[in-house]
Amino acid sequence: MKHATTLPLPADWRDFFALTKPRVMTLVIFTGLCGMLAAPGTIHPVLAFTAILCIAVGAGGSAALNQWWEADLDGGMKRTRNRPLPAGRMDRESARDFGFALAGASVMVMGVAIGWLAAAILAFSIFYYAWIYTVWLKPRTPQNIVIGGGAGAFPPLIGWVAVTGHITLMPVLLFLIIFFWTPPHFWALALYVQTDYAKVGIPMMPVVAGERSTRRQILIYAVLLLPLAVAPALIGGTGRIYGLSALVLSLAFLALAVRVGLRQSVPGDTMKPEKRLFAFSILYLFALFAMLVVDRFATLQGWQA
Amino acid sequence: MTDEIRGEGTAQIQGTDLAAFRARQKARNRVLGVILIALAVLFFAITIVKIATPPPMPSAQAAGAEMAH
Repeated sequence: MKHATTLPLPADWRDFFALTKPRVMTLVIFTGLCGMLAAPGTIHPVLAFTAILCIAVGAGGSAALNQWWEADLDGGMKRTRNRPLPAGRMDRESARDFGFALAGASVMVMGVAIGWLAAAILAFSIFYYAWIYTVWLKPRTPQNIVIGGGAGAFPPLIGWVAVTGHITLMPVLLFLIIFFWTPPHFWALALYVQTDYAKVGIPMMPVVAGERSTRRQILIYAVLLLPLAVAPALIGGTGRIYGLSALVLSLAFLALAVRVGLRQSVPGDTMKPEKRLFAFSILYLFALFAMLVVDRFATLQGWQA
Repeated sequence: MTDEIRGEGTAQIQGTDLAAFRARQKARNRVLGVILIALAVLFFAITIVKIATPPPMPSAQAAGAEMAH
């Protein structure tokens, strides 16, 4: 018997693009590119483009896998309920297959075109974000943001290794800078944005440990970040331009973090110090990595020793 | 060409549903085509660069070559 029916529309290509979290990808591309440009050595522009593309596509793949796994949680939160999966614009299997395809392709192309060490780190970073962070630790510990910071810290390390072919202390320091920058950056936002993570059972620090503990930890991470940010200059990995810039930027970051760390909000609080710290944290990371590249350029030009 | 799609069994869709279905398919195929062409160009460029770049010399061989000069 024949009957008329409405088949579900295939997902729009824009929804596949949205699965890759393009805004997060811009930061990944920027830090990966800075790691590559700051590394000692040269790389052919075509290979440099390929390496950055692989880093971006790998990040997109892990973001798609993250959204596949968290579709139900995303549906319960105002900020994320309009994403392709919770909004019902795409079936889960498509998101899963898309995520695995991007992840696999990025690792394979990175291995063949650039090198297998860079490919192995890229593969681990995808596994780290999609499994260690998303599946394993995010729903279990209020330190999830600290752990998630590790995923965002891989791109400059991969960019550096793509040029040099090996891991030294410098790219590890770049990794640690982003790792220690993430908690104060995110928790400053979490203090003034009402998120509904608690409603879906994700243990975010301000909800689980309280405001006072979150503020104290913001301060601790900002204190730890300062020597790490300056360390590349201290070990001779960069010149004075980066060293001075990192010192000034990190002192400013610390000053803002102190204001947030030592206060307590009151009813009707405008949360200005927290907003200022969050806004500056974004500028801080962009400026720090940009100065890394400027420093390298100045050294190559012979403007500094 | 009849204006219908036969799915599993005897299911069929007609009219505006079909137009939307086809438009969505067309847009996806167009994007996929652009991506595949871009990848083909990229792989070609990578191959040319790899062919033009000599492989790194093993350290022992390199040392020998340096001594010979």
